Amino acid sequence: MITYDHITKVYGRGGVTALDDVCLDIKEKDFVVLIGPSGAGKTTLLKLLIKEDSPSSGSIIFKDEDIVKISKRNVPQLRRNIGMIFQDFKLLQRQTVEENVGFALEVTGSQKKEIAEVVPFLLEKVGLLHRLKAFPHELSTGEQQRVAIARALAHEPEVLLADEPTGNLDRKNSEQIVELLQQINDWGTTVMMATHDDLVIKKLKGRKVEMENGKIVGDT
Amino acid sequence: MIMKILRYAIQHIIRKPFQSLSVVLILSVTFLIAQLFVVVSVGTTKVLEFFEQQPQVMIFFKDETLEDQILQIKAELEKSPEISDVTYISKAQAVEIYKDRSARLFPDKPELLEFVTADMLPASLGVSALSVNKLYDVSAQFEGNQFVESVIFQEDLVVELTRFTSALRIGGAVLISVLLFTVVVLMAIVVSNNIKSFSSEIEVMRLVGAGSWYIRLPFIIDGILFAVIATTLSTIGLYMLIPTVEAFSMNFIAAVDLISNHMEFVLYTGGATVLFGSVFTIITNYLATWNAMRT
Repeated sequence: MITYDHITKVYGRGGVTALDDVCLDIKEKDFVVLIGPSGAGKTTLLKLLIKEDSPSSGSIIFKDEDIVKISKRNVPQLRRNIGMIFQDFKLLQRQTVEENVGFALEVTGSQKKEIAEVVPFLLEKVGLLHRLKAFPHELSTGEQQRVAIARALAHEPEVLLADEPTGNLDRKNSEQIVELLQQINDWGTTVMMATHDDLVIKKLKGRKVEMENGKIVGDT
Repeated sequence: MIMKILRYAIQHIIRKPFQSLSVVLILSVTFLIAQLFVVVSVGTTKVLEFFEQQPQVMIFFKDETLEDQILQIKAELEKSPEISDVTYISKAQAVEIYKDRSARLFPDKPELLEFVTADMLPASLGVSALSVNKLYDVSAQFEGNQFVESVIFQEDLVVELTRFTSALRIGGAVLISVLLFTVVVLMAIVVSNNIKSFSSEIEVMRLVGAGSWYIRLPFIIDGILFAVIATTLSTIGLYMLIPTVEAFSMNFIAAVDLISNHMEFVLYTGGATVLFGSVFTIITNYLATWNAMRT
């Protein structure tokens, strides 16, 4: 489903090498955990998949299309197929839970009626239907990450990317988020998760790809 | 979708009210100056046309000169192929012209008209020629003539007026260009600030797959809203100022009716300003958005 083919990413002219000739194949419905220390290249690998950045060389094939070559105009369509969540949640603080999730549908042209049906459905999936009208600051960090997950799932993406999703969470919340991600994977969504949290790594049962200095040093 | 984009545009304006107010004010002043420049430009063109259409040499005759003698001079002048037109204005016609202009210039002073009779004003010939040299000849020919009281040669006035009008147009164009450039810079700063204040929303929009135009359009619509508000204000200002401008001009050139229909003129000028303002702000905000989102 996703193929990183000899991907190298160098920031600046002759600068830092974030990824060094990385090759990685990910199958449909896989749960892949990218592990390694900070600066290993995990986040860069995820960012390249949503074309937040472009590699210095190599190609990334997603559903038979080279992401590196797609035009800027087609990036929004790509991002509707690939959801992403972050350590800092990236929620809009002035909007309620309902509005935050609905925002993802609204900005891509969904009708009010559709939004009204889909948002409660998504929030129910992440166990937050009862917090529909709450603002992010009224939620726990774990709940905020659940809202971010619900938003990432708004377009029913085939792939969900999670960049250190438990980085700001306590142990209990981290476990709950990991369980939720595994549940999403069980529903049929391919999940790629970057983490350096040992507790999370131990708990996860999926494929583990270990990175160091921009290279893949292990794949189990 | 359109309503959502419009809602975002209004949010941008409301979130930074003082910034929005400053843009509207400077745009209003710029457009008002541009509109006043149009008034002055139209006015000076009309004044110039008026003087160009006037006989370029006026020959005023002594009271004792008979009409037949004047008409004979007229006929002789008309024989010259270099003379394009000769107009005879009798004493009676001169009074009519005087009364007409006085009534317009001093409508509240009817006593000015009461004591003016045909005997008081001279008969005259207005001569227009194909060349300035011929006018010099005509002027010289009648200076000191036994029937002639005085000769007025207006060539200098037309030349001076043409120079003045050209200078005014260049000066006005430079002034408006400077003001428009100021507006461009100001709007670029405002758009950049707005984009910064909406950075979290924009980041999420990009993340969830909103199209580039969906993100940019509200900022461009901001420009249109600013333009419509500012041009409306400037047009109201123009409507209020036109009588003052016209009254001021009447002190110098009473014979020329600068703007015959105020409402029609304001509507045309206002409409053109709205159109120009909208196109101008669309281009400005498009470029500013492109520049701000590039970084």
